[in-house]
Amino acid sequence: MMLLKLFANCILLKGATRAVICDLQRSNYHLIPMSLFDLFDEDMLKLNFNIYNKQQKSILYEYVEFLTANELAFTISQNELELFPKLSLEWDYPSKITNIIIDIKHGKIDLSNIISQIEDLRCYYLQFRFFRPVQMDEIISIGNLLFDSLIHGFEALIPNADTVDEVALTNIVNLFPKLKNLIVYNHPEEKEVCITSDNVGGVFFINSNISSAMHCGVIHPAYFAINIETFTESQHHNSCLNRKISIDVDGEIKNCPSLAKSYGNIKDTKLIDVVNNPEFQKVWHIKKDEITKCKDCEFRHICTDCRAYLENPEDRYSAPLKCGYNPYTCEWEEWSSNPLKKQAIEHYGMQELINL
Amino acid sequence: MEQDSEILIISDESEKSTDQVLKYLLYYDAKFIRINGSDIIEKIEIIFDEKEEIQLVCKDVELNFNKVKSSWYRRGKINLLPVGHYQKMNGDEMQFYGQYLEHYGKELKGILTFIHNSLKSRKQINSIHDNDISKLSQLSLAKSCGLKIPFTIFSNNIENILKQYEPNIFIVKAINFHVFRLNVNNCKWICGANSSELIDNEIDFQKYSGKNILISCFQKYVAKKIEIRTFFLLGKFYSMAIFSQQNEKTKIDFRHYDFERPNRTVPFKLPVVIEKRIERLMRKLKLSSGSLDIIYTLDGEYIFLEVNPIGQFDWLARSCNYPIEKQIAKELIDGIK
Repeated sequence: MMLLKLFANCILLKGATRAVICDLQRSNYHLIPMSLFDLFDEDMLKLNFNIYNKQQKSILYEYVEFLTANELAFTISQNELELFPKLSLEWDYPSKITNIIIDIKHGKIDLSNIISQIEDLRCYYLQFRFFRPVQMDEIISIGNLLFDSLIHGFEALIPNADTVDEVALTNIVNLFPKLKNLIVYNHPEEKEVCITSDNVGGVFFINSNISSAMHCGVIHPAYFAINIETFTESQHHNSCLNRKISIDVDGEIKNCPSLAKSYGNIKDTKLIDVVNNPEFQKVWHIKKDEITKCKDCEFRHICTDCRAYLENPEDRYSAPLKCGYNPYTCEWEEWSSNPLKKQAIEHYGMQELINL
Repeated sequence: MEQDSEILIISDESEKSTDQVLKYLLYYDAKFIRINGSDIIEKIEIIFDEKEEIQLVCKDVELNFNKVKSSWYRRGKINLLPVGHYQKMNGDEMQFYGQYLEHYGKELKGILTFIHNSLKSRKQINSIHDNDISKLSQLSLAKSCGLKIPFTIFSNNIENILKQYEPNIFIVKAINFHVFRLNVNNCKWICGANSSELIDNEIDFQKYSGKNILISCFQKYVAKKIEIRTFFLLGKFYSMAIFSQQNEKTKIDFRHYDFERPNRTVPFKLPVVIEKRIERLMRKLKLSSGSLDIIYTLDGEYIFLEVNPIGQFDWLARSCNYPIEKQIAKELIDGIK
């Protein structure tokens, strides 16, 4: 009998009509038919070729070839099984909050007041989204404020405007190692302006117009994150909102700027008080295995999520509105033209955004 | 008094695993001080009075060693040399400074040893003295603990090795860590080999013949099924299997990374009997933590290669989802409780 065991970082996930092997080491996924999935006993194939006929054998050989050629599985002897434990699916991170989004539309934000609060949360990553033109000085002053803070990195999305100066932006990114990404949206020319010396970020111009928080929440294979960190977090938590906090354009503190529910205004509410509010933490625990449609989807633990725009706005366990995938037919469709979503689109007032 | 106790961490500025451990210390609100090799020690005082006291100031922070209840030596050292002065020096001054450093450095060793020894009586994960452990004593002790080691010769006589042993499948390594290339009177001397040369060495050991070899380590090549990297921490084992044999690039040494098709790295569980022997070895070497290189042979045997007290473990922790940094932080906090 041949024993073929999946490498511990190649994990089988079953969907409604097919399955996928998530290669968490090489950031890849391989779709497999249910007929192959059903042969597996957990992460093992126990193949006794003698019991199959010629035609079945040739299919089996094909499967074995596929698994070994992609280095998804290896042959193993019975007495070696205990040497290869499963990958732990535990997830932990030493921060109360792992990322914070700050949206800015009117006036300035008083960042100096918030930084120590962010540090106390041991939050190391910040994203600023500007929905109004930004002066270069403004980015410099943010960089200066964060320079000596505990914050490891931040990124800024800014709209294309007269104030956008390619050379200045490049200089700014090089001046502040903590500024990882500077993204200029609504730019006619899609390009990489510069890449930082440590290769982790740079200045980018993009076409799309991210004029408001309503642009968020798109579900697409391009946003899949196929790695141990996301996969394990997704087992226990919401893959978008877990340990996230946001300050929207009006200073309202929320799980995500696109959500309606506010837990107070930054003017008179401390972030830590919001974070410690059990009600605030509730959405952190909405797992894919509980969400309609997602729970039947083979991609659930490598995919993003959105709890702000739902197919059924009344149901917190409803599937993301902006997901066009159907795990029952295995087809991707344009979500916005789906007649079943018309009502929800109107509910969120997105008609205009879609027609752009 | 307890609130005053501190955790001391000695590391290098760019050492990423240290950053990860510190994140956990911050998360648990533990008080700590980190000293990097590149940090300037602004003031140091070792006072012998009714009680002994070691005080230093680094980055404007004052540290009294009596308050250190828990320490982690990651790598690097507390740099007591006057850093920064030599940038303005000319060639002659530099040469003088070099000589001065060599001698003054030896004088300082007494102070460094004393400082590090003062940490011994408290919770301690590794020490600067771990760096003094030689590969020879590792091999000797490993054997005495019942671990298998490859056939190894430390020698400067390559002709004799070639004559005496068959087949000539040896890997040439440095005595300890560093490979030396000397050029004296147009005559090249070699000690050890870079890992990048290992492939040649295995196939073509003869190329070293006739050259001036300084004492090097010649280790018989062991055919492996998989390579094992184990991180040992105060009795806990975190092991990883590296499937390096499928790939020609990484067959001899997995450090010849193939980035497009990286070697499979998955959690591994050493048999308890091997773990017990390693634990005995670590005790004999007085190492509270370290990274071990082990070979799992085609016959299912475990061959100990070496233990690196300051080896990297970030790769292992990420690949196998092992909470190593969290565990180190917890151990350090345990010490100040």
